[in-house]
Amino acid sequence: MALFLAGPIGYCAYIAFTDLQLTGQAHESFVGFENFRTAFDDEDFLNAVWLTLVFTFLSSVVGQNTLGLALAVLMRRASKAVRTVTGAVVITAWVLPEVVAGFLLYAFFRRDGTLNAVLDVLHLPSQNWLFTLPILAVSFANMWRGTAFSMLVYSAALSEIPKEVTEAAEVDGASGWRRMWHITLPMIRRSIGTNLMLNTLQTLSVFGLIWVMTRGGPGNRSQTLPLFMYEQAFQKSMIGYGTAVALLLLLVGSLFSLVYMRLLRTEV
Amino acid sequence: MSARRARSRRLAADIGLLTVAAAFAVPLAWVLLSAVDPKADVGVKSPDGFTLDNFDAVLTDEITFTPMLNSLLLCGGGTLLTVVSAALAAYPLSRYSSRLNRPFMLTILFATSLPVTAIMVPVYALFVRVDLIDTMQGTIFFFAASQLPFAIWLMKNFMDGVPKELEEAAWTDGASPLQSLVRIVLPLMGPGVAVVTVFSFVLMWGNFFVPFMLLLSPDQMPAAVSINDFFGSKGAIVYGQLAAFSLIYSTPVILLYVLIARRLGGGFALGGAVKG
Repeated sequence: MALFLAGPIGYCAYIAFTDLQLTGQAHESFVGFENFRTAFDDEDFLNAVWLTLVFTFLSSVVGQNTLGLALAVLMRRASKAVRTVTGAVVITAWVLPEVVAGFLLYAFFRRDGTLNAVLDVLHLPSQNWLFTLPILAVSFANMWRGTAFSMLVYSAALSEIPKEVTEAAEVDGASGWRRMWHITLPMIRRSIGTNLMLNTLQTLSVFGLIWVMTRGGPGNRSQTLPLFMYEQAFQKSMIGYGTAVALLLLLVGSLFSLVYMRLLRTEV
Repeated sequence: MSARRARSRRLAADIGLLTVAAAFAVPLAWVLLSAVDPKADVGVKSPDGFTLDNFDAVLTDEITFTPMLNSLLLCGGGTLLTVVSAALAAYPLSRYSSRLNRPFMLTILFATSLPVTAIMVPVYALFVRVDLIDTMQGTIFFFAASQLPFAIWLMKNFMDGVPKELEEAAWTDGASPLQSLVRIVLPLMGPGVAVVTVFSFVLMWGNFFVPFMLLLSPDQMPAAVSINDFFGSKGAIVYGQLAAFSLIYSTPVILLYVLIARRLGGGFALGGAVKG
């Protein structure tokens, strides 16, 4: 593990400061912070950072997290049959391999795909989603794929809330929303923190899903950081630059990871 | 709360859930219907008849069997390596208290949540240097290494649940730590080992980026990558065949998941890892 994880990270830190290229160069040379400076001056890089933020916020913070919680809450009230069916469908979306999920949603969002057919039936305007709103489409895809995890985490958390607490509040006349806001949410706040953190980290590194659906395009309108990194390193053969981007991504990941560890600290 | 209110609430919850379920099910329906549709298209529609031609067309060495076998080799090898190493690493962590335990577990937790995608470019560069690029064993090693932090973490939590007394009896009879691990602890935590195994396998099976980067020659590609060939490069896409292949490729992980969900009584297997 030390060799295969720490090794690359150390090597990564080194290459990021060089101008290593894939071809046509005998030796890389040390260029200091040049790669990082390039990155922050590079409009495409900033675009990728922005898209990564949008993608992460929409699909993981808003999408997976909120929908997962809503599903978990509803499931506690629903009848058993409905619970089973919903659980099975949502979890299937989660268990499917990344690439397959990508294809399914590609088919769903395409101009002649299912979504537009449904919109047509409802007499709503249809459009070429992958072209007009690619980042929205991939965010939805990630939400489709990742919600099951939040749902499972929250189901577990909700089942640990003692029944007496909610019943007491109900007797006192607290409405559903108030019970949710003042009792349920505070009691599962640790789960919320953990889940948000894990979702965010997961979403940061999504590659296959976006690759299959849009390849980062059209243009670079759905090119998040992992795809940007891949393009720089392999399609433009600038390994040094690509690695600098990777290092930045890793830094962001580590920051989140540290926060996550603090959240879990007492339990190690 | 009156019975009527309870019922209307349940109805509302049912409707809400079914709406979401329907939305989630549409893309899934596409793959099921298209796979048996002789004239499959990108949109969901009722199939024009029923056919197994799509499956027939993809069930060849080149399209299905070789990639699936590659996947099996990669993920099987990676999983085996992961589980064995995780068991060996978790045992001392769980059984002997040392001042290093806590820092070590924290490091592992830290490593677990790092985005693996971010290190793929340097890993690629490193693999080129040490000549492991485009080799099965290199990819297997990397799979195992990337999966290991999480596996150790899970494994330790399960191992903590096995009472120590049973082992002490074995020690007095002269068993070595390794013997007691293999003969006593691992059998007792059977479900735990199963969870770690299945999770490692499922995650590797679905992983696209790692083999996509580390393997180059087509005859070594696992299904996760070869499925890409249906797409883009050849222009026209035969959607029916793509759907059929997607089904074949997804079946093992779904079966494994169902298996393990049953075994744990529907309980949430990751509970140990994400308790909050």
